[in-house]
Amino acid sequence: MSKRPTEPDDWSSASETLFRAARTDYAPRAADRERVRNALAQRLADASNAPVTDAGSLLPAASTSSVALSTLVKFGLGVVVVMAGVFAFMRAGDSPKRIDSRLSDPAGVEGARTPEHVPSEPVAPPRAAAEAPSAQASASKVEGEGAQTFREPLRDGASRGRANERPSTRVGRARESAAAQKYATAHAMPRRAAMDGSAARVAARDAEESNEREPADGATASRDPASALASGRTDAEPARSDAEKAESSSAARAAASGDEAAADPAAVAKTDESHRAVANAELDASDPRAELMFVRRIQAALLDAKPRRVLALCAEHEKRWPRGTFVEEREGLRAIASCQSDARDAAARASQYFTAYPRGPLAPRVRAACAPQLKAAASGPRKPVSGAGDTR
Amino acid sequence: MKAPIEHWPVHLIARDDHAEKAVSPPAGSLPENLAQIYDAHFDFVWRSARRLGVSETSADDVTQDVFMIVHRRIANYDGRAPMQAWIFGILVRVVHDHRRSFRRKGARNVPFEQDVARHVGVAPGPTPIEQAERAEHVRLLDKLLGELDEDKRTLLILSELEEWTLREIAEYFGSNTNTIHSRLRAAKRAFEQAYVRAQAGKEMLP
Repeated sequence: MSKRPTEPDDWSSASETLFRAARTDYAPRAADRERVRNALAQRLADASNAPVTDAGSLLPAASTSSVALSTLVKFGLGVVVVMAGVFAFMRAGDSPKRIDSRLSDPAGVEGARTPEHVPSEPVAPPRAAAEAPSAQASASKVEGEGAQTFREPLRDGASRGRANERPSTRVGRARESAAAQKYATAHAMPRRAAMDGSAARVAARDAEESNEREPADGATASRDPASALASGRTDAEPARSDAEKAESSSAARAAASGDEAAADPAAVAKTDESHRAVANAELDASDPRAELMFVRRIQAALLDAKPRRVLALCAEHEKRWPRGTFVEEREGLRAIASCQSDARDAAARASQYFTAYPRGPLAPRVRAACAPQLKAAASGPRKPVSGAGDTR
Repeated sequence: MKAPIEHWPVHLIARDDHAEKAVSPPAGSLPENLAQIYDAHFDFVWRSARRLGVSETSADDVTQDVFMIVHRRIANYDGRAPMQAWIFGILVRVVHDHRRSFRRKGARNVPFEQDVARHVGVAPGPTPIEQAERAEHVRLLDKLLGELDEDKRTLLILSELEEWTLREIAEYFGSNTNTIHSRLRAAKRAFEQAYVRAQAGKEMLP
């Protein structure tokens, strides 16, 4: 007998511990057992006493139920017969019209299947159309063998349906595959490339490292330009948003101006190791723990009072995990950061969050952070802010 | 094949005037066949109902309903599946109906904290800290199981809490073990996601 599976990938030790500890929970007490037993006995006694008045009542009850059953069966059979008749009538009335239209205008039928519906693979002409000239020549035989010849492919509803549906289906498939490729190019490919190991994986990891390291070790970058070059910063550059760059450069300036933690080599090495671990874990986009680590970075950025960086990270999270586990948290943090940076769309973000997650765990924080914006939005439309961009 | 008379529902047996005195149970007791089933499976039905999300106040009604149906349908039990699996099938349907009627009536369950506190208050735990931890475990597990759909929740309850084998679960679902295996993996992944999310939410609270 096969036992329960234990795949470490699906099941963390914490979850297993949770279940193991809960196996003895919810055991009923003796009082529960007795209470339910008494109530059940009472219900059984009521059920056995109430409906039974005499022994003869069984027969009428049975006959009533059998009458109801037979009525139901008759009604069901009637519905089936009527439906079958309607279906047969529709099919019988349908075929001659199509034969007539085909006989009168076989080219029109073919015209309806012009190659623009199937640009790459035209459908083979049906037998009826191929044999149309001979049918026109021998019009007197239309109701005879010729009619049979034309009717044969048309009466076969399945083959007719297939012949009519094939072009549109193929076009639909072609469009679907084109859309899927487009979507994959836009969304899935970077993730797949990141998950594929080899050079792409290394490049993505280095890009992450450089992203993370830059605010803290601007001085390090100046000390070791070769490593900065080898870290693939050029490749990572397009993926970073302007806000993140500004954040990084400001952090680098702060570090260069005498931040002790950033200047300490041991601290820098430790930070690098932790960031490398973070980047490695984040490469696995299907793992919720990787997503959690990313969300922690957003949270840390918010705690560091860097709302622009929060917004940039939220945008990146949205790209990498459009349907992630922590969408609710991301939207909450984004609303808070928008309000902290007094972005133009702060009130809208907060309203969206409350609409989507009225009882979300971050709702109190969003409400507290966005109180001025929500109040201003409620009092009247906000004046347009001079200057481009979401933030001012 | 006709079921033996001891398996007949009470109201049919009681129609026989001569047998009524002999068969009808005294007040507060159950018919012998139902009493045996009740003694053997009451704990399972009760805790499974609670794990399926029924509050303690409603567990009485749900458990009674289950055994009433067992009593009515015992003649239909063919013995191909274990009795526990058969009863669990009844329980799942009763819980489903119970939830639907609750939603329809707009009734509210007892707040979960009170429910857990009442449960954990009598749970064996040498220290208040252990009791509190246990209450937290129960609350978390219930919350996470509540986030899953019914199918995944049932699978995890049977597999991880009741410790049924894959074959037993497959018999219950009328499926094969490979299918159950893959469905169980999906259920575990969903639970793991919910767990990670709950932990993160706890960290992000102010």
